[in-house]
Amino acid sequence: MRIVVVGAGPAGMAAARTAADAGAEVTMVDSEPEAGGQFLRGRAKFEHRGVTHLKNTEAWMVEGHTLHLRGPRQLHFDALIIATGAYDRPLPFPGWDGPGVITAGAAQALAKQGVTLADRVIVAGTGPFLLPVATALQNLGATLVGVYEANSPLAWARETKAVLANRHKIAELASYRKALSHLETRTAVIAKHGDRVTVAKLDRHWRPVSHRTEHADLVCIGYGFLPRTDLVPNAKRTNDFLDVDELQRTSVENVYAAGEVTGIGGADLAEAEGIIAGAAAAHQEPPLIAVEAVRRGRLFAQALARAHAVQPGWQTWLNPDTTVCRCEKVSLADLTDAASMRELKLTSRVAMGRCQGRICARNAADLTGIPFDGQRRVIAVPIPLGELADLPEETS
Amino acid sequence: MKVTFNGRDREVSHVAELLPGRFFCGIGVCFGCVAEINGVPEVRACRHQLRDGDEIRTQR
Repeated sequence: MRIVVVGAGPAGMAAARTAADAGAEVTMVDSEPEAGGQFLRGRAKFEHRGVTHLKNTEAWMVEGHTLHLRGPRQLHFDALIIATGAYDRPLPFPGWDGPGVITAGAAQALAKQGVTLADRVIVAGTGPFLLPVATALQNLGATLVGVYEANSPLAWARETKAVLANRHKIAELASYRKALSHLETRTAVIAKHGDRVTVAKLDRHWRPVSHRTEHADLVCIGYGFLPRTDLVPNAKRTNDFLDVDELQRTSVENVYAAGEVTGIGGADLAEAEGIIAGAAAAHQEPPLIAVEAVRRGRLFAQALARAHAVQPGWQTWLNPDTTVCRCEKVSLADLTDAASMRELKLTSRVAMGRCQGRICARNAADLTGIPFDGQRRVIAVPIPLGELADLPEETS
Repeated sequence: MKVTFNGRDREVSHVAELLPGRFFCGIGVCFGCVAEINGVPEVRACRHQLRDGDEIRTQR
C-alpha cells in the first residue's frame, strides 16, 4: 500500500505517521526545507519509521494515481492525502501594494527567523491569528502601534457551544496579554501612504464611520485564510475549502484531505484530521480520540468562520486607482463588466499574473459580484517547459 | 549577510529587506518577490535561505 502525503505541517506529519504505523509505505512531500509547516516552521524534528520525507519538493499535478513533482519526478500512489494548508487572505486598500505592507503570515514567518523589518508595526485583519503575530513582533522588540480586528468579539457570545467544547483555546488568549492591550475591534487600516496609516472605525458591515492617522512603518494584514487546493481542482468544496466526509475523503476517489485545506480550526484540529486521514487511507479504523478531537475542533472552526467572516464594506475602502491584482497591476477601475471569472480575467487581466489569482481572484470576484467558483488551476506551481519536455511519454 | 543586489553591495539580515513592496506573502504563494538569485531565474526569494555572497537581481 503506497500512500503519498503532500504537506508536512501538523496535519501532514500526523497523517504520515499514522499511515506508516498502519503498515503503509509512506512518502511525505513538502516544499519547505524542514517539516513543521507554517505553524511549526522548521521546529518539528520529523523522523518516522516507514516515512520517506521529500524536502524542498513541490508537487504540481495529480494525474490518476500519479503525483507529478518538480524535478521532474513521479510518485505512484494507492491513496493520496492533501495536507497543503492555507495562506492569508489580504484585502486591498490604497497603498497595500506599496512598501511596508505584508501579510500577517509573512510577518509570522519572518518573526520565526528573528526578523521584524520595522520598528513601528500594526497588525490588522480579522481572527485570533492576529494575536500571536502581534506578540511575536513585540517579543522581537517592535513597537506595536495597534492590533485592529475588523469584527466585534461580541459575535463569540452566540457561540457558547463551541467555546465550552474548546476551553483550552480561550486559555491560550492569556498568553497574548501584552498584545491584547493594543487590541481595537471594529477597526481596520483603510489606507497607507509612507508611514501615514489611515485607521478607521467600522460599522458592522465594515463601512468606515470615522478615521484617524497613525504612524507605522509596517502593516501586517490577514483577513482569514484561503486554502491551497491546487492539486485537486475538481474536488467538491464549500467556500473554497475542500469537502470531506467522516474519514477525510474528498469527492475524488482515493484522495483524502486534512488540516486547514478543509477549514480553519488550528493545529490541534489539523493534527486530529491528519490522524483520521492517515488511518482511513491505510484501511484502518480511525482512533476514537481523534474522532472526538475533530468533532470538538470543527465546532470551533465553524464558530470562527461565523465570528470572523469578511464583511462586504471593505469594498468601499478602495479608490478607482487602487490595485486589485498586484501581478498585473489591475486597478479597481480596470475591472470590466463580465459574466464569469473567465471573461473577467480575459478582459481585465486580473488573476492572470504569476500568482495565478491566489492573492486577488477572490477579492476580484467580490468586487464585481461574479460568483466565486473556487480556485481551479491545472498546474499547481510554475514549471519550466524543459521539465515538461523531460517527462516520460507514458506515466501511468 | 553581505550580498549583491542589482550589482550593488548591500548588508541585510533578510532578503525581504531588499524587496520592499514586493515581498508580501512570505510563504511562496504571491510570487511578488520573484528574482534572479545566483544566476537562477524566477526564484521566489522568500523561499531562498540568504547566504553571504549571494547575488540577487530584479533588473537587467
